[in-house]
Amino acid sequence: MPISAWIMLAVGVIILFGGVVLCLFKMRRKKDRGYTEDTRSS
Amino acid sequence: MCYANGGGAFLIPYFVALLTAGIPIMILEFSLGHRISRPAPMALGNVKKGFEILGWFALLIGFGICTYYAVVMGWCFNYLGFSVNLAWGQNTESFFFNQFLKISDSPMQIGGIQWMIVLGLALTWVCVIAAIWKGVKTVGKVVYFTVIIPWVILIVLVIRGITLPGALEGLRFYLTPQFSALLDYKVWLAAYSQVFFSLTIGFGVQITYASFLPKKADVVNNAFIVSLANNATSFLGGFAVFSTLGYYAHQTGLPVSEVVKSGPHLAFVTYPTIISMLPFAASIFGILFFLMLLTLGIDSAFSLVEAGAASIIDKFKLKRIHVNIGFAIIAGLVGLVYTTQSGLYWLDIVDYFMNNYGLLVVGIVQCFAVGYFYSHKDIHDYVKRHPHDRSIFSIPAKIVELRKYANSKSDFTIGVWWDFCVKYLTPVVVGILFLTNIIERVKSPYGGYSRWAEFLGGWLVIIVFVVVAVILYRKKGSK
Repeated sequence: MPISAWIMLAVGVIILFGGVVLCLFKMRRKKDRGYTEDTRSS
Repeated sequence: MCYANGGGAFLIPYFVALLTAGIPIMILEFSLGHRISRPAPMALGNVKKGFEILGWFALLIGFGICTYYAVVMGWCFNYLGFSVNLAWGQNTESFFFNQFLKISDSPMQIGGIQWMIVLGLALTWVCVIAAIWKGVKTVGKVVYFTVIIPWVILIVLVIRGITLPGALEGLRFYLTPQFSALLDYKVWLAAYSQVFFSLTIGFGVQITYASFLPKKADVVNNAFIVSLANNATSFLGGFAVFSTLGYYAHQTGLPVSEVVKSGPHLAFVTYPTIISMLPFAASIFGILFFLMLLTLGIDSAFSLVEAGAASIIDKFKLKRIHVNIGFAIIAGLVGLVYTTQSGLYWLDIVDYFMNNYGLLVVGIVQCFAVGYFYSHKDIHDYVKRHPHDRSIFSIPAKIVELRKYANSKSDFTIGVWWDFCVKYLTPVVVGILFLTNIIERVKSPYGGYSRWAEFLGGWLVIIVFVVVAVILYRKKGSK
Protein backbone atom coordinates (compact mmCIF):
# COMPACT_ATOMS: atom_id res chain seq x y z
CA MET A 1 0.00 0.00 0.00
CA PRO A 2 1.27 3.54 -0.73
CA ILE A 3 2.34 5.79 2.13
CA SER A 4 -0.78 7.99 1.70
CA ALA A 5 -2.97 4.94 2.43
CA TRP A 6 -1.04 4.23 5.62
CA ILE A 7 -1.45 7.89 6.62
CA MET A 8 -5.22 7.65 6.06
CA LEU A 9 -5.31 4.48 8.13
CA ALA A 10 -3.37 6.14 10.95
CA VAL A 11 -5.54 9.28 10.85
CA GLY A 12 -8.74 7.22 10.91
CA VAL A 13 -7.60 5.02 13.78
CA ILE A 14 -6.20 7.91 15.84
CA ILE A 15 -9.17 10.29 15.36
CA LEU A 16 -12.00 7.76 15.60
CA PHE A 17 -10.83 4.93 17.83
CA GLY A 18 -8.42 7.14 19.79
CA GLY A 19 -11.22 9.67 20.30
CA VAL A 20 -13.64 7.04 21.58
CA VAL A 21 -11.06 5.60 23.99
CA LEU A 22 -10.19 9.08 25.27
CA CYS A 23 -13.86 9.99 25.85
CA LEU A 24 -14.57 6.67 27.59
CA PHE A 25 -11.48 7.12 29.74
CA LYS A 26 -12.67 10.61 30.73
CA MET A 27 -16.14 9.29 31.52
CA ARG A 28 -14.74 6.47 33.60
CA ARG A 29 -12.55 8.87 35.58
CA LYS A 30 -15.58 11.05 36.21
CA LYS A 31 -17.60 8.05 37.39
CA ASP A 32 -14.79 7.00 39.74
CA ARG A 33 -14.56 10.52 41.08
CA GLY A 34 -18.33 10.71 41.54
CA TYR A 35 -18.35 7.40 43.34
CA THR A 36 -15.65 8.60 45.74
CA GLU A 37 -17.54 11.82 46.43
CA ASP A 38 -20.76 9.90 47.10
CA THR A 39 -18.97 7.60 49.50
CA ARG A 40 -17.58 10.56 51.39
CA SER A 41 -20.94 12.28 51.63
CA SER A 42 -22.52 9.14 53.03
CA MET B 1 -20.83 5.50 -0.38
CA CYS B 2 -17.04 5.48 -0.09
CA TYR B 3 -16.80 3.29 -3.17
CA ALA B 4 -19.02 5.54 -5.29
CA ASN B 5 -17.04 8.67 -4.38
CA GLY B 6 -13.45 7.96 -5.25
CA GLY B 7 -12.52 5.33 -2.67
CA GLY B 8 -9.88 6.67 -0.28
CA ALA B 9 -10.53 10.25 -1.41
CA PHE B 10 -13.92 10.08 0.27
CA LEU B 11 -12.41 9.63 3.72
CA ILE B 12 -10.97 13.19 3.69
CA PRO B 13 -14.29 15.05 3.15
CA TYR B 14 -15.93 12.50 5.44
CA PHE B 15 -13.60 13.40 8.33
CA VAL B 16 -13.93 17.12 7.52
CA ALA B 17 -17.74 16.81 7.52
CA LEU B 18 -17.61 14.91 10.81
CA LEU B 19 -15.53 17.58 12.51
CA THR B 20 -17.20 20.67 11.01
CA ALA B 21 -20.84 19.56 10.95
CA GLY B 22 -21.35 16.14 12.53
CA ILE B 23 -19.90 16.71 15.98
CA PRO B 24 -20.99 20.39 16.33
CA ILE B 25 -24.61 19.56 15.39
CA MET B 26 -24.57 16.47 17.59
CA ILE B 27 -23.49 18.66 20.55
CA LEU B 28 -26.18 21.20 19.57
CA GLU B 29 -28.93 18.57 19.49
CA PHE B 30 -27.77 16.92 22.73
CA SER B 31 -27.51 20.27 24.53
CA LEU B 32 -30.87 21.53 23.29
CA GLY B 33 -32.69 18.28 24.10
CA HIS B 34 -31.08 18.02 27.51
CA ARG B 35 -31.70 21.68 28.26
CA ILE B 36 -35.37 21.80 27.28
CA SER B 37 -36.14 18.15 28.21
CA ARG B 38 -38.78 17.78 25.53
CA PRO B 39 -38.89 16.06 22.12
CA ALA B 40 -37.57 17.82 19.01
CA PRO B 41 -40.63 19.85 17.86
CA MET B 42 -41.27 21.22 21.33
CA ALA B 43 -37.56 21.84 22.02
CA LEU B 44 -37.18 23.79 18.76
CA GLY B 45 -40.50 25.53 19.44
CA ASN B 46 -38.99 26.62 22.73
CA VAL B 47 -36.24 28.42 20.81
CA LYS B 48 -38.90 30.31 18.86
CA LYS B 49 -42.50 29.20 18.43
CA GLY B 50 -42.42 28.84 14.63
CA PHE B 51 -39.42 26.54 14.69
CA GLU B 52 -41.71 23.80 16.00
CA ILE B 53 -42.54 23.29 12.29
CA LEU B 54 -38.87 22.46 11.69
CA GLY B 55 -39.01 19.82 14.42
CA TRP B 56 -42.05 18.14 12.88
CA PHE B 57 -40.51 18.38 9.41
CA ALA B 58 -37.33 16.70 10.70
CA LEU B 59 -39.38 13.85 12.19
CA LEU B 60 -41.33 13.48 8.95
CA ILE B 61 -38.05 13.13 7.05
CA GLY B 62 -37.28 10.31 9.48
CA PHE B 63 -40.72 8.83 8.79
CA GLY B 64 -40.07 9.02 5.02
CA ILE B 65 -36.77 7.22 5.46
CA CYS B 66 -38.40 4.58 7.70
CA THR B 67 -40.92 3.72 5.00
CA TYR B 68 -38.25 2.47 2.60
CA TYR B 69 -35.69 1.44 5.21
CA ALA B 70 -38.16 -1.16 6.46
CA VAL B 71 -38.49 -2.52 2.91
CA VAL B 72 -34.70 -2.90 2.64
CA MET B 73 -34.85 -4.76 5.97
CA GLY B 74 -37.58 -6.89 4.36
CA TRP B 75 -35.10 -7.76 1.59
CA CYS B 76 -32.59 -8.68 4.31
CA PHE B 77 -35.10 -11.04 5.96
CA ASN B 78 -35.55 -12.77 2.60
CA TYR B 79 -31.81 -12.93 1.94
CA LEU B 80 -31.26 -14.33 5.43
CA GLY B 81 -33.41 -17.24 4.32
CA PHE B 82 -31.68 -17.46 0.92
CA SER B 83 -28.30 -17.66 2.69
CA VAL B 84 -29.10 -21.08 4.15
CA ASN B 85 -28.76 -22.83 0.76
CA LEU B 86 -27.20 -19.92 -1.20
CA ALA B 87 -30.43 -19.71 -3.20
CA TRP B 88 -29.17 -16.82 -5.34
CA GLY B 89 -27.14 -19.29 -7.42
CA GLN B 90 -24.38 -18.25 -9.81
CA ASN B 91 -26.02 -15.23 -11.43
CA THR B 92 -26.70 -13.07 -8.35
CA GLU B 93 -27.51 -9.98 -10.41
CA SER B 94 -30.26 -11.67 -12.37
CA PHE B 95 -31.53 -13.31 -9.17
CA PHE B 96 -31.83 -9.98 -7.33
CA PHE B 97 -33.24 -7.80 -10.11
CA ASN B 98 -35.24 -10.27 -12.20
CA GLN B 99 -36.31 -13.06 -9.85
CA PHE B 100 -36.52 -11.32 -6.46
CA LEU B 101 -37.51 -7.71 -7.29
CA LYS B 102 -38.90 -8.52 -10.77
CA ILE B 103 -37.86 -4.97 -11.59
CA SER B 104 -39.79 -3.10 -14.28
CA ASP B 105 -38.27 -0.88 -16.97
CA SER B 106 -39.10 2.50 -15.43
CA PRO B 107 -40.65 4.08 -12.30
CA MET B 108 -43.93 4.64 -14.13
CA GLN B 109 -44.35 0.92 -14.87
CA ILE B 110 -45.50 0.12 -11.36
CA GLY B 111 -46.13 -3.62 -11.82
CA GLY B 112 -47.40 -5.97 -9.13
CA ILE B 113 -46.58 -6.17 -5.44
CA GLN B 114 -43.92 -8.75 -4.50
CA TRP B 115 -45.49 -10.67 -1.64
CA MET B 116 -42.28 -12.11 -0.22
CA ILE B 117 -41.00 -8.57 0.22
CA VAL B 118 -44.30 -7.60 1.87
CA LEU B 119 -43.82 -10.50 4.29
CA GLY B 120 -40.32 -9.24 5.10
CA LEU B 121 -41.72 -5.72 5.51
CA ALA B 122 -44.36 -6.97 7.96
CA LEU B 123 -41.72 -8.88 9.96
CA THR B 124 -39.57 -5.75 10.13
CA TRP B 125 -42.40 -3.65 11.51
CA VAL B 126 -43.25 -6.31 14.09
CA CYS B 127 -39.60 -6.22 15.29
CA VAL B 128 -39.49 -2.41 15.32
CA ILE B 129 -42.71 -2.03 17.28
CA ALA B 130 -41.67 -4.77 19.73
CA ALA B 131 -38.40 -2.88 20.32
CA ILE B 132 -40.17 0.36 21.26
CA TRP B 133 -43.21 -1.22 22.92
CA LYS B 134 -42.65 0.61 26.21
CA GLY B 135 -40.57 3.47 24.81
CA VAL B 136 -37.06 4.10 26.06
CA LYS B 137 -37.41 1.37 28.70
CA THR B 138 -37.50 -1.42 26.09
CA VAL B 139 -35.20 0.45 23.68
CA GLY B 140 -32.53 0.56 26.40
CA LYS B 141 -32.63 -3.24 26.67
CA VAL B 142 -32.97 -4.05 22.97
CA VAL B 143 -29.90 -2.00 21.99
CA TYR B 144 -27.69 -4.31 24.03
CA PHE B 145 -28.43 -6.91 21.33
CA THR B 146 -28.77 -4.69 18.26
CA VAL B 147 -25.46 -2.96 18.97
CA ILE B 148 -23.35 -5.83 20.32
CA ILE B 149 -24.45 -8.49 17.79
CA PRO B 150 -23.54 -6.48 14.65
CA TRP B 151 -20.21 -5.43 16.20
CA VAL B 152 -19.27 -9.04 16.93
CA ILE B 153 -20.34 -10.08 13.42
CA LEU B 154 -18.47 -7.13 11.92
CA ILE B 155 -15.24 -8.17 13.63
CA VAL B 156 -15.73 -11.73 12.35
CA LEU B 157 -16.30 -10.41 8.80
CA VAL B 158 -13.26 -8.11 8.99
CA ILE B 159 -11.03 -10.98 10.11
CA ARG B 160 -12.47 -13.22 7.38
CA GLY B 161 -12.11 -10.44 4.79
CA ILE B 162 -8.51 -9.45 5.45
CA THR B 163 -7.35 -13.07 5.47
CA LEU B 164 -8.68 -13.68 1.94
CA PRO B 165 -6.33 -13.54 -1.07
CA GLY B 166 -6.39 -10.13 -2.80
CA ALA B 167 -7.71 -8.35 0.31
CA LEU B 168 -4.77 -5.94 0.36
CA GLU B 169 -5.67 -4.67 -3.12
CA GLY B 170 -9.17 -3.83 -1.90
CA LEU B 171 -7.82 -2.07 1.17
CA ARG B 172 -5.40 -0.12 -1.01
CA PHE B 173 -8.38 1.15 -3.00
CA TYR B 174 -10.25 1.96 0.24
CA LEU B 175 -7.47 3.92 1.91
CA THR B 176 -5.50 5.58 -0.90
CA PRO B 177 -6.74 9.16 -1.36
CA GLN B 178 -7.30 10.30 -4.94
CA PHE B 179 -6.89 14.01 -4.43
CA SER B 180 -8.46 14.91 -7.80
CA ALA B 181 -11.83 13.69 -6.48
CA LEU B 182 -11.71 16.40 -3.81
CA LEU B 183 -12.42 18.99 -6.52
CA ASP B 184 -15.82 17.42 -7.21
CA TYR B 185 -18.56 19.05 -5.12
CA LYS B 186 -20.62 15.85 -5.32
CA VAL B 187 -18.03 14.03 -3.21
CA TRP B 188 -18.34 16.72 -0.53
CA LEU B 189 -22.12 16.69 -0.74
CA ALA B 190 -22.10 12.90 -0.36
CA ALA B 191 -19.77 13.19 2.65
CA TYR B 192 -21.96 15.73 4.44
CA SER B 193 -25.15 13.80 3.62
CA GLN B 194 -23.59 10.58 4.84
CA VAL B 195 -22.48 12.21 8.12
CA PHE B 196 -26.00 13.57 8.68
CA PHE B 197 -27.57 10.23 7.82
CA SER B 198 -25.23 7.97 9.75
CA LEU B 199 -25.23 10.16 12.88
CA THR B 200 -29.02 10.60 12.62
CA ILE B 201 -28.67 14.36 12.96
CA GLY B 202 -31.27 16.57 11.33
CA PHE B 203 -33.96 13.97 12.17
CA GLY B 204 -34.89 15.37 15.58
CA VAL B 205 -33.89 11.99 17.01
CA GLN B 206 -30.88 13.11 19.04
CA ILE B 207 -32.84 16.03 20.55
CA THR B 208 -35.56 13.63 21.65
CA TYR B 209 -33.16 11.03 23.06
CA ALA B 210 -31.13 13.71 24.88
CA SER B 211 -34.37 14.86 26.52
CA PHE B 212 -34.56 11.43 28.20
CA LEU B 213 -31.03 11.67 29.65
CA PRO B 214 -30.68 12.15 33.40
CA LYS B 215 -29.94 15.72 34.43
CA LYS B 216 -26.44 14.76 35.55
CA ALA B 217 -25.55 13.13 32.20
CA ASP B 218 -22.42 14.38 30.46
CA VAL B 219 -23.66 16.19 27.33
CA VAL B 220 -20.45 16.95 25.43
CA ASN B 221 -18.71 13.67 26.17
CA ASN B 222 -21.80 11.67 25.15
CA ALA B 223 -22.03 13.65 21.89
CA PHE B 224 -18.36 12.94 21.11
CA ILE B 225 -18.66 9.24 22.01
CA VAL B 226 -21.77 8.74 19.86
CA SER B 227 -20.26 10.58 16.87
CA LEU B 228 -16.83 8.99 17.01
CA ALA B 229 -18.06 5.47 17.84
CA ASN B 230 -20.56 5.60 14.97
CA ASN B 231 -17.94 6.70 12.47
CA ALA B 232 -15.38 4.27 13.86
CA THR B 233 -17.91 1.49 13.16
CA SER B 234 -18.38 2.76 9.60
CA PHE B 235 -14.59 2.98 9.16
CA LEU B 236 -14.19 -0.59 10.41
CA GLY B 237 -17.07 -1.69 8.16
CA GLY B 238 -15.04 -0.39 5.22
CA PHE B 239 -12.36 -2.98 5.99
CA ALA B 240 -14.90 -5.80 5.83
CA VAL B 241 -16.36 -4.51 2.55
CA PHE B 242 -13.19 -3.54 0.68
CA SER B 243 -11.14 -6.57 1.72
CA THR B 244 -13.85 -8.85 0.31
CA LEU B 245 -14.09 -6.67 -2.81
CA GLY B 246 -10.33 -7.15 -3.20
CA TYR B 247 -10.90 -10.90 -2.97
CA TYR B 248 -13.66 -10.67 -5.58
CA ALA B 249 -11.39 -8.68 -7.90
CA HIS B 250 -8.63 -11.24 -7.33
CA GLN B 251 -10.96 -14.13 -8.21
CA THR B 252 -12.43 -12.49 -11.31
CA GLY B 253 -9.23 -10.86 -12.55
CA LEU B 254 -10.90 -7.45 -12.75
CA PRO B 255 -9.59 -4.25 -11.10
CA VAL B 256 -11.31 -3.32 -7.79
CA SER B 257 -12.70 -0.16 -9.39
CA GLU B 258 -14.77 -2.28 -11.77
CA VAL B 259 -16.12 -5.06 -9.58
CA VAL B 260 -19.11 -3.33 -8.09
CA LYS B 261 -21.77 -0.73 -8.63
CA SER B 262 -23.02 1.50 -5.84
CA GLY B 263 -26.32 1.22 -3.94
CA PRO B 264 -28.13 -2.04 -3.14
CA HIS B 265 -25.99 -3.77 -5.76
CA LEU B 266 -23.18 -4.05 -3.20
CA ALA B 267 -25.19 -5.78 -0.46
CA PHE B 268 -27.55 -7.85 -2.58
CA VAL B 269 -25.50 -8.72 -5.67
CA THR B 270 -21.77 -8.37 -5.05
CA TYR B 271 -21.73 -9.64 -1.47
CA PRO B 272 -23.82 -12.76 -2.23
CA THR B 273 -21.46 -13.46 -5.15
CA ILE B 274 -18.45 -13.19 -2.82
CA ILE B 275 -20.18 -15.33 -0.18
CA SER B 276 -20.73 -18.07 -2.78
CA MET B 277 -17.02 -17.92 -3.68
CA LEU B 278 -15.83 -18.42 -0.08
CA PRO B 279 -13.80 -21.60 0.33
CA PHE B 280 -15.69 -22.84 3.42
CA ALA B 281 -18.76 -22.08 5.60
CA ALA B 282 -20.26 -19.84 2.90
CA SER B 283 -23.80 -20.20 4.28
CA ILE B 284 -22.69 -19.21 7.77
CA PHE B 285 -20.99 -16.06 6.50
CA GLY B 286 -24.09 -15.28 4.43
CA ILE B 287 -26.33 -15.62 7.50
CA LEU B 288 -23.93 -13.52 9.59
CA PHE B 289 -23.76 -10.78 6.96
CA PHE B 290 -27.54 -10.41 6.54
CA LEU B 291 -28.13 -10.77 10.28
CA MET B 292 -25.71 -7.88 10.77
CA LEU B 293 -27.55 -5.74 8.21
CA LEU B 294 -30.88 -6.64 9.83
CA THR B 295 -29.85 -5.74 13.38
CA LEU B 296 -28.21 -2.51 12.24
CA GLY B 297 -31.23 -1.56 10.14
CA ILE B 298 -33.82 -2.36 12.79
CA ASP B 299 -31.74 -0.43 15.30
CA SER B 300 -31.81 2.67 13.08
CA ALA B 301 -35.49 2.25 12.23
CA PHE B 302 -36.75 2.06 15.80
CA SER B 303 -34.68 5.08 16.84
CA LEU B 304 -36.50 7.09 14.15
CA VAL B 305 -39.92 5.69 15.08
CA GLU B 306 -39.43 6.26 18.80
CA ALA B 307 -38.47 9.92 18.21
CA GLY B 308 -41.67 10.47 16.22
CA ALA B 309 -43.84 8.52 18.67
CA ALA B 310 -42.40 10.37 21.70
CA SER B 311 -43.16 13.73 20.05
CA ILE B 312 -46.77 12.82 19.21
CA ILE B 313 -47.34 11.41 22.70
CA ASP B 314 -45.82 14.54 24.26
CA LYS B 315 -47.99 16.96 22.29
CA PHE B 316 -51.27 15.13 21.80
CA LYS B 317 -51.18 12.91 24.90
CA LEU B 318 -52.18 9.82 22.94
CA LYS B 319 -51.64 6.29 24.23
CA ARG B 320 -48.25 4.85 23.27
CA ILE B 321 -49.72 1.59 21.99
CA HIS B 322 -52.03 3.49 19.60
CA VAL B 323 -49.23 5.73 18.34
CA ASN B 324 -46.81 2.83 17.79
CA ILE B 325 -49.31 0.66 15.94
CA GLY B 326 -50.67 3.64 13.96
CA PHE B 327 -47.13 4.60 12.94
CA ALA B 328 -46.34 1.04 11.81
CA ILE B 329 -49.56 0.71 9.81
CA ILE B 330 -49.19 4.06 8.01
CA ALA B 331 -45.46 3.57 7.32
CA GLY B 332 -46.09 -0.06 6.26
CA LEU B 333 -48.84 1.00 3.82
CA VAL B 334 -46.66 3.75 2.32
CA GLY B 335 -43.84 1.20 2.14
CA LEU B 336 -45.96 -1.00 -0.16
CA VAL B 337 -44.95 1.35 -3.00
CA TYR B 338 -41.39 0.05 -2.64
CA THR B 339 -42.51 -3.57 -2.77
CA THR B 340 -43.83 -3.18 -6.31
CA GLN B 341 -41.80 -4.00 -9.42
CA SER B 342 -40.82 -0.34 -9.75
CA GLY B 343 -40.09 -0.06 -6.01
CA LEU B 344 -36.32 0.19 -6.38
CA TYR B 345 -36.63 3.27 -8.61
CA TRP B 346 -38.92 5.04 -6.15
CA LEU B 347 -36.69 4.05 -3.25
CA ASP B 348 -33.71 5.56 -5.05
CA ILE B 349 -35.49 8.86 -5.79
CA VAL B 350 -37.01 9.28 -2.32
CA ASP B 351 -33.73 8.32 -0.62
CA TYR B 352 -31.86 10.92 -2.65
CA PHE B 353 -34.30 13.71 -1.79
CA MET B 354 -34.59 12.82 1.90
CA ASN B 355 -30.82 12.78 2.39
CA ASN B 356 -29.65 15.53 0.06
CA TYR B 357 -32.46 18.01 0.63
CA GLY B 358 -34.51 17.10 3.69
CA LEU B 359 -31.70 16.43 6.16
CA LEU B 360 -29.44 19.22 4.93
CA VAL B 361 -32.26 21.78 5.11
CA VAL B 362 -33.04 20.75 8.67
CA GLY B 363 -29.34 20.93 9.54
CA ILE B 364 -28.96 24.44 8.11
CA VAL B 365 -32.17 25.86 9.62
CA GLN B 366 -31.49 24.21 12.97
CA CYS B 367 -28.05 25.88 13.15
CA PHE B 368 -29.67 29.16 12.15
CA ALA B 369 -32.42 28.77 14.78
CA VAL B 370 -30.13 27.93 17.67
CA GLY B 371 -27.26 30.16 16.49
CA TYR B 372 -29.33 33.32 16.18
CA PHE B 373 -32.62 32.85 18.04
CA TYR B 374 -31.82 30.62 20.98
CA SER B 375 -32.86 32.18 24.23
CA HIS B 376 -33.63 30.78 27.62
CA LYS B 377 -35.15 32.25 30.74
CA ASP B 378 -32.05 31.10 32.59
CA ILE B 379 -29.97 33.68 30.67
CA HIS B 380 -31.20 36.28 33.15
CA ASP B 381 -30.22 34.05 36.07
CA TYR B 382 -26.87 33.43 34.41
CA VAL B 383 -26.22 37.17 34.09
CA LYS B 384 -26.90 37.59 37.80
CA ARG B 385 -24.55 34.75 38.69
CA HIS B 386 -21.79 35.79 36.23
CA PRO B 387 -21.85 39.62 36.18
CA HIS B 388 -18.37 39.83 34.66
CA ASP B 389 -19.04 37.62 31.63
CA ARG B 390 -19.62 40.28 28.95
CA SER B 391 -20.10 37.81 26.09
CA ILE B 392 -23.64 37.05 27.17
CA PHE B 393 -24.82 40.63 26.52
CA SER B 394 -24.37 40.59 22.77
CA ILE B 395 -27.62 39.30 21.25
CA PRO B 396 -26.06 36.91 18.72
CA ALA B 397 -24.10 35.44 21.62
CA LYS B 398 -27.18 33.91 23.21
CA ILE B 399 -25.86 30.60 21.97
CA VAL B 400 -23.06 31.16 24.47
CA GLU B 401 -25.56 30.34 27.19
CA LEU B 402 -26.33 26.97 25.59
CA ARG B 403 -22.59 26.28 25.30
CA LYS B 404 -22.07 27.19 28.93
CA TYR B 405 -24.97 24.93 29.88
CA ALA B 406 -23.40 22.05 27.94
CA ASN B 407 -20.03 22.75 29.56
CA SER B 408 -21.59 22.86 33.01
CA LYS B 409 -22.81 19.29 32.43
CA SER B 410 -19.62 17.99 30.87
CA ASP B 411 -16.27 16.68 31.88
CA PHE B 412 -14.43 18.46 29.09
CA THR B 413 -15.57 21.75 27.70
CA ILE B 414 -16.23 23.17 24.25
CA GLY B 415 -15.01 26.62 23.28
CA VAL B 416 -15.96 29.40 20.87
CA TRP B 417 -15.10 27.10 17.94
CA TRP B 418 -18.46 25.44 18.54
CA ASP B 419 -20.33 28.78 18.35
CA PHE B 420 -18.43 29.54 15.13
CA CYS B 421 -19.32 26.16 13.61
CA VAL B 422 -23.03 26.44 14.52
CA LYS B 423 -23.47 30.07 13.50
CA TYR B 424 -21.23 30.35 10.43
CA LEU B 425 -19.19 27.39 9.24
CA THR B 426 -21.76 24.57 9.15
CA PRO B 427 -24.67 26.56 7.65
CA VAL B 428 -22.43 28.23 5.06
CA VAL B 429 -20.66 25.04 3.91
CA VAL B 430 -23.80 22.91 3.91
CA GLY B 431 -25.77 25.79 2.35
CA ILE B 432 -23.32 26.13 -0.57
CA LEU B 433 -23.42 22.38 -1.22
CA PHE B 434 -27.20 22.40 -1.01
CA LEU B 435 -27.59 25.31 -3.47
CA THR B 436 -25.06 23.82 -5.90
CA ASN B 437 -27.04 20.61 -5.87
CA ILE B 438 -30.34 22.43 -6.41
CA ILE B 439 -28.86 24.17 -9.48
CA GLU B 440 -27.68 20.77 -10.75
CA ARG B 441 -31.21 19.37 -10.35
CA VAL B 442 -32.73 22.32 -12.21
CA LYS B 443 -30.41 21.54 -15.12
CA SER B 444 -31.17 17.82 -15.22
CA PRO B 445 -33.38 15.42 -13.22
CA TYR B 446 -31.78 13.07 -10.70
CA GLY B 447 -30.37 9.77 -11.92
CA GLY B 448 -31.67 10.16 -15.47
CA TYR B 449 -35.28 9.65 -14.31
CA SER B 450 -38.09 11.57 -15.98
CA ARG B 451 -39.08 14.98 -14.58
CA TRP B 452 -42.46 13.58 -13.64
CA ALA B 453 -40.96 10.70 -11.62
CA GLU B 454 -38.54 13.09 -9.95
CA PHE B 455 -41.40 15.40 -9.00
CA LEU B 456 -43.58 12.60 -7.58
CA GLY B 457 -40.85 10.83 -5.63
CA GLY B 458 -38.88 13.90 -4.61
CA TRP B 459 -40.34 17.38 -4.64
CA LEU B 460 -43.93 16.28 -3.95
CA VAL B 461 -42.85 14.24 -0.91
CA ILE B 462 -40.96 17.28 0.47
CA ILE B 463 -44.00 19.53 -0.15
CA VAL B 464 -46.36 17.05 1.56
CA PHE B 465 -44.01 16.85 4.57
CA VAL B 466 -43.92 20.66 4.87
CA VAL B 467 -47.74 20.82 4.76
CA VAL B 468 -48.12 18.03 7.36
CA ALA B 469 -45.50 19.71 9.59
CA VAL B 470 -47.49 22.96 9.49
CA ILE B 471 -50.73 21.09 10.29
CA LEU B 472 -49.11 19.33 13.27
CA TYR B 473 -47.74 22.67 14.48
CA ARG B 474 -51.09 24.43 14.21
CA LYS B 475 -53.07 21.59 15.77
CA LYS B 476 -53.62 22.29 19.44
CA GLY B 477 -51.96 19.86 21.80
CA SER B 478 -53.73 18.21 24.71
CA LYS B 479 -52.96 19.40 28.21
